[in-house]
Amino acid sequence: MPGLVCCACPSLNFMKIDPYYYPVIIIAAFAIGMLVALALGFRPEHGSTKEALELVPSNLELVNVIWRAKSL
Amino acid sequence: MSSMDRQGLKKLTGIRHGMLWFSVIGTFLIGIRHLLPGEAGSGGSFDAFCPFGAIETLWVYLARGQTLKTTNLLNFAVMSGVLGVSIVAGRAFCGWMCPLGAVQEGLAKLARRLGGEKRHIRGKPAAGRLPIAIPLWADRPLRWAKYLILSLVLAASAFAVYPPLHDICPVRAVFSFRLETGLLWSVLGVFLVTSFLVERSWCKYLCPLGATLAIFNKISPVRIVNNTSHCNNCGRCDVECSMGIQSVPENLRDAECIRCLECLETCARDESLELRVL
Repeated sequence: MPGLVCCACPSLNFMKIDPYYYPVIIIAAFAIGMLVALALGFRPEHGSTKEALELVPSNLELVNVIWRAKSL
Repeated sequence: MSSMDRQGLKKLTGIRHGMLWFSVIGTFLIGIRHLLPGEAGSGGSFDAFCPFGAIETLWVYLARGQTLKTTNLLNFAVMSGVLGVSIVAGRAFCGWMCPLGAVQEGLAKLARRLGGEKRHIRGKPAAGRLPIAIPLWADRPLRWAKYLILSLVLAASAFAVYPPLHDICPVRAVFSFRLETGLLWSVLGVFLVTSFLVERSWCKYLCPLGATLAIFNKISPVRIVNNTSHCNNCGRCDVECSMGIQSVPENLRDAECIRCLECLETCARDESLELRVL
């Protein structure tokens, strides 16, 4: 199946990826997925009985505070 | 594809093997860590690093807010990473990051050395006896076994205390250094022998994590595409495919594809197979 080709310059194929970037894409996707889960509280906490989903609102609030502080 | 590009793709295979063996060493280190006495050995069980543990404990977690014994919230974090890879690139985790996949590839390579030196000769399978090619009439139905195992695990997890696969998990058998039961020794033996005889037999027929990730092959944006005008149907990719996919150029979104890019590397035609987004 041919990919999208720019009308103005048919030799340019925007959708093609250099296979060399493939490992980078995989590692980045894994790291992002894992970091998002850790940020949402899905991590073992010694001595804590709090569950991850209980932590989600406080984590989102923290993200919101950081975002507002950055935009100021 | 120029010879320079081809050399580059050979390097890519080397990078893939490097990533696979990195995951093997990492998993062995986790296994060793849990053998250490005192503080060094604490910090969650060996099972807590397993992405499939998240699926095993998901039902109990949603229903009761607890996790099954030997699993914890880290399972969800690891599974989230695996899902990240799958959403972007399908079953690439199986081809690039799974430690069991690395062990199976190593054993298949050893089998090829003993049973037949070359994998293909201009698109024709080499005459080697090993690894064994399962006949199609048996291969197709056997591949459904992993979906059956996934369904059984999901059903059993609602009533379980430990993860349902805890005592028969090949990752524990190969990497945990704690073969406490005869059953785990049997699992280790069967896994090593079948992986030697049949290439990626665990991935093809039994892996419930692979069954979970298979759906992402249909929707992931990063994928391999075939330029039909360039392909001359030589069949080299069919022979090279470690998952035994038939007519690879027509089945590039097959649920069995582990996105290892071996077909891309072996393809002799310029721009016949390409990696693309969407």
